[in-house]
Amino acid sequence: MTPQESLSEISRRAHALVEEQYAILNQEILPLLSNECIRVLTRESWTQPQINYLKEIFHQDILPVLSPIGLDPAHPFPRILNKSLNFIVKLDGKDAFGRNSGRAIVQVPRSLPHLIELPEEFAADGRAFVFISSIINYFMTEIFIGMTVLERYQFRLTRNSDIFLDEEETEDLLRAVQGELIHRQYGDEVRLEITHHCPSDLEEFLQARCDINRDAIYRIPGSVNLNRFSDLFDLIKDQKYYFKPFTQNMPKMLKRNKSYFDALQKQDILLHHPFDSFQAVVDFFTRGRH
Amino acid sequence: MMPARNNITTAANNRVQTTVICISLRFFIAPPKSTGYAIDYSTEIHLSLKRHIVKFQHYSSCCARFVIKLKYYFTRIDTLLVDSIERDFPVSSTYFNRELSLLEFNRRVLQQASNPDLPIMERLRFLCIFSTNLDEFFEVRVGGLIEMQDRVSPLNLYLMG
Repeated sequence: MTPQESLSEISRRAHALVEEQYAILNQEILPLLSNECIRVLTRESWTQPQINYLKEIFHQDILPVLSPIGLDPAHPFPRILNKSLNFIVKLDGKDAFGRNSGRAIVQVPRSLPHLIELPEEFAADGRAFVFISSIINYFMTEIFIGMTVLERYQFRLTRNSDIFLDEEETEDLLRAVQGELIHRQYGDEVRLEITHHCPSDLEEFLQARCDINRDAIYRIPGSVNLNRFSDLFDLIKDQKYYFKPFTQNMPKMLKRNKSYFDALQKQDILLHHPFDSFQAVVDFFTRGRH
Repeated sequence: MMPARNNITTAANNRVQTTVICISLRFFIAPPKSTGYAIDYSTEIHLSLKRHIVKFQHYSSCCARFVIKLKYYFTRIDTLLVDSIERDFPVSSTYFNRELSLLEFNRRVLQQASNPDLPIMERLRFLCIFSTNLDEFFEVRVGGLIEMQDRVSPLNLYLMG
């Protein structure tokens, strides 16, 4: 297969896989979690008390770390950080400097957690979680004071982070690696994920600015970057939702005999790691030292 | 001149490299005597093989490109050799494509997420793992392919058809 053929086959298969991934999430996992009274609330379902609470969080903790970037033809398109979650915002009206730029980009800060939990009194029953990105999305108008936010959509850009080194032609390997590492942050764009309901004019705008092929665009029916759900693993500790913790086995022969050396005199002992405990080996050495 | 058939080692991991070395050995043990100019090209072929064996460690998916290039060199020596290479190394069917095989691995990760026998949070975790795996796949493997595509010289492009 030539690189070209591989790329188009990858695109075909990866699109199908991503579609399957979100089908599993939306049709199986989220309903099941909801049955267990674990809910990740979407903006549409927020109640007024919840909105008031989240508004306070937005102003206290989120707004100070946001840095929206206005887009206009006079400036180059900003370098979107690799794998960061962003909003492309369509605006109407003039900003404080009287400029009518029309579009802006808001990056979801990396310093904040992806998900926060609502206090018990705000959750109807069970536990309720909200994505930070949903909060930013909901209160977007408060960022662009004096302007009207017409539309906003999530998108995420993935860059080439491969390190290319030709060992034959490189004389100073250290220097070559240093050079490549700097370059790594600013690799070429290889994938663009956008919310599935993003209109085609904004899609084309992003596609052109990111210089990306049409078949490298993935329309996402749900939250872009599902790994953001991984915050839940720290917030939900209930053991019944997880695999049973695994306890390593200590071979019977070693448990029975006080001295490992006596045990080993009787027979050989085979340890099967990681199923058998590493402690046996550690003990063996510490006892041997005495 | 009939070239000796290669014994393709079945050890999957070493397969590509072993077979490549096989070719180079075969050529030097039994140079095609029917052609008068075998010696003229041997250095060139040897160098090219050596370079490509090293390159193989970088990206095995350029295997197809390598075999095609190999064929090109042997065309200049003996067409019989070309036939035998074609027979011993069918370009498209012999090897798994490195990138596609990694995608298939991720398909299996995703299958775990849809397994109703697993605890719910573990299924969600598999969805997360799939996401991060795919991120890395795009950053490194797809990125590498795009780079390869850009680096292909006009000669290579011609040889790849």
